[in-house]
Amino acid sequence: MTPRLIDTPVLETEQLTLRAIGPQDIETGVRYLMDPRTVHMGGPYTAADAWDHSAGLIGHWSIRGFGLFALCLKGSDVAIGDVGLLRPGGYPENELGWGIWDPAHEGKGYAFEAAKVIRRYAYATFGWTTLVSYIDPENTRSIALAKRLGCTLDKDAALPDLPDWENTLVYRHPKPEHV
Amino acid sequence: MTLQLTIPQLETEHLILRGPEPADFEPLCAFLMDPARSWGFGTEEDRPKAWRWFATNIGHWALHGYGYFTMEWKDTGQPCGITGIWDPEGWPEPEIGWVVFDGFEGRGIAFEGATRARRWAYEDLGFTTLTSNIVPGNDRSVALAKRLGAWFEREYDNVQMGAEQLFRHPSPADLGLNADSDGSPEAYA
Repeated sequence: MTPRLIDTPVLETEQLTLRAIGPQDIETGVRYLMDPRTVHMGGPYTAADAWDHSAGLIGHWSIRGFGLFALCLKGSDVAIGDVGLLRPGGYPENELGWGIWDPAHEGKGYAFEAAKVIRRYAYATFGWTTLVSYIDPENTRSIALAKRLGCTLDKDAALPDLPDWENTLVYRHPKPEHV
Repeated sequence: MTLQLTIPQLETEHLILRGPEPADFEPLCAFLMDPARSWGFGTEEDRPKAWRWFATNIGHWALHGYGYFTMEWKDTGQPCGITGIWDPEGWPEPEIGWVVFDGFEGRGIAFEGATRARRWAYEDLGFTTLTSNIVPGNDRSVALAKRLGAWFEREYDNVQMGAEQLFRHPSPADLGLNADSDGSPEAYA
């Protein structure tokens, strides 16, 4: 049998190593998705739905060639969050998404640090000229991060064709020449 | 880094069983969104949800080393269904499942594919037992389970599907598959 190998990048930031989320993250990822803190991103999930969703995020890398990166503190391989590039079915364009899985690691700028590097990586690698972040209007922390990343609210952007996403805010990232 | 998906290619008289490819999405999506065909498997209400199931299956392969194969009709190369071993979170134990796409029924595809997938699970993965979970009233699937030698064991509440009947498949020894002298299946590459 021939293994199919999908090359996935490893990116470095000042404090973090970013690698593709994979099977090694299933337990921590599922625990996060079952946490009430995921209320602004479709959660909290049941254990079964969290597992399916996490498996799907691995599949996303295989199908698209990009996906979510696990945020690992330098020297560790344990994911404390995820930041990455998403284009699942129903999305009209590519998203830069983020989440800090472990509340003990919130507020330290990790998502900001990772998002900047991944955004540059996406623009340079795929030649994309734009990116958005879809954010629940009540998710004030995420809105603050989007603004810190230089995003502006795009009221004309098409929304993902998904149920219950009517009120989702679309924050558009600065163009490649501005990052 | 690399994400490794080890998915074998298996062959039967009429079929190739292989890993899912992006081009398999459309025929799978048509199946998943057609309640008349997919009610016993799990109907998806829209394309985005069908896409997520497709992605979940690939992740299932990465996590477990098994999942649903795409069955390809050898003569034409067309995807004609899926079969494989499925054990996501909440499942009572690994099951063998099968689905035949529109236009490919009546050719014995599910029987041929599921028989091969079961043999692979027993001989190559070292499984010693397998089940199939069937929604009550899915008489075609029950008939196929019985044709595969499986028998009704119990009813239980599936985490995604609700009430299901669990059918137990014959063991590797029952099927006379490569079991060595101590009765354990012989794994080979």
